[in-house]
Amino acid sequence: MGAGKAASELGALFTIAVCSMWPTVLNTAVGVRAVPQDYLNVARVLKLSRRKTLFKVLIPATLPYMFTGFRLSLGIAWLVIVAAEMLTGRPGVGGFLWQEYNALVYEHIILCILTIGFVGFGLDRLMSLIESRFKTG
Amino acid sequence: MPFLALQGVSKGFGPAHHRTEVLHDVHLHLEKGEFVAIVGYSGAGKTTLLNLIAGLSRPDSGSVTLNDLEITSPGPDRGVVFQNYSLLPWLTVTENIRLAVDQAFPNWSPARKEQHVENHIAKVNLLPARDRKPAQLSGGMRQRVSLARALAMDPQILLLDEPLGALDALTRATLQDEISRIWQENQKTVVLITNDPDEGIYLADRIIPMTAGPKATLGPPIPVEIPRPRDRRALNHDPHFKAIRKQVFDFMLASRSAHKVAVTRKLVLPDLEPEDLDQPRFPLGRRTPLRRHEVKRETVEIP
Repeated sequence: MGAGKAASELGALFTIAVCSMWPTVLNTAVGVRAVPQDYLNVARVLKLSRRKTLFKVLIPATLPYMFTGFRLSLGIAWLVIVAAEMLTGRPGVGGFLWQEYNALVYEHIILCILTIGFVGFGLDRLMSLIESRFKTG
Repeated sequence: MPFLALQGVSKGFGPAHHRTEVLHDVHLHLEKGEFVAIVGYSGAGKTTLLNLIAGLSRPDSGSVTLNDLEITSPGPDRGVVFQNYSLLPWLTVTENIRLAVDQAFPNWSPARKEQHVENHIAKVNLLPARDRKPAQLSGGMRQRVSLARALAMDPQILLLDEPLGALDALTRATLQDEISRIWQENQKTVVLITNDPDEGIYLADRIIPMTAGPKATLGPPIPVEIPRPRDRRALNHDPHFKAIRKQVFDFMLASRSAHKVAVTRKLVLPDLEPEDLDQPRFPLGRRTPLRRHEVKRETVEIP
């Protein structure tokens, strides 16, 4: 039972990671490609090292794209967390929702839907708050 | 021995079978402390030439040497002011310049770097705006920051790539005066690329017209022997100024009429003939025959 539980936990984590990474990956790739040639020319003229080019030019220039990716990823991750809980039966909103669905307690199901919605919205606001604290292009 | 020398430099772009040679057999010699302006049509390859000197790209043939050393990569010994400012928008004025100072003088103490940055901001009269981001500055102020950044690296040669191209006429005049003043203070070697002959004559010791592209090359250099400091108002009536201006314009207009730019493109004409309604309609098909669209090549010459 113990090993199975650990495996289901790892499986849930893996599912969440695989589902939620793509918006971040794709947005970052697009962002890096969209870095204006001017900034790269500046980096070359100033002879910035590869490390310094990365931290002083590339990352600040791609940060807005990365945060778009983070916000989408966070939303997906939250959905998948709930879904994974429903499937693995671990305690949580998803697990509770599944129980109440099977027990046909509609009030609790509505409550779960609202909770999931508000927590998702809160997470998104939180991420945009973090985004505004970074200095970006 | 010239300080900066370009010998038979050519540079082209595009794939091998459809290559356009932008610069062809360019020769340029610069002495130390000289202010040279290169005037040319837009799109003639001025920026390409400057990128070669800056080391951002390599020539296809010929050599670019600074102090007898081949230029192979960009470096802090050549300060570049780009046409579109190229300031990093997430850094303030001070931080933008500080980044350049950190690179050029890594061994200095932080206090000395700070002082150096401060001096250069003062030199371009931007002290009140030192903590602002580039987005909060006007075009003229941004270009001053860019100029200060290039000067702060204490380069051996300053490369200005149409630095005032995006500014309005009045700001342009102020900045020209400022460039002129800073040059007289530092006596650095300067290559100014511009599309405005007046600007070139006002600022430079020597003005070199560039022929119209493609296959652009540099014309004969014209020395500007007007004593400094030059007075913008008096300049317009100076016979020497007028003579140089005429010489530059004559050369550039002549080079333009020598080349005619021809644009060739493929034109696809549409299916014009209506369907023939007398013919019986085949199931699942159009009433044939239709004249298929034609493909033609069209060449337009621009005088």
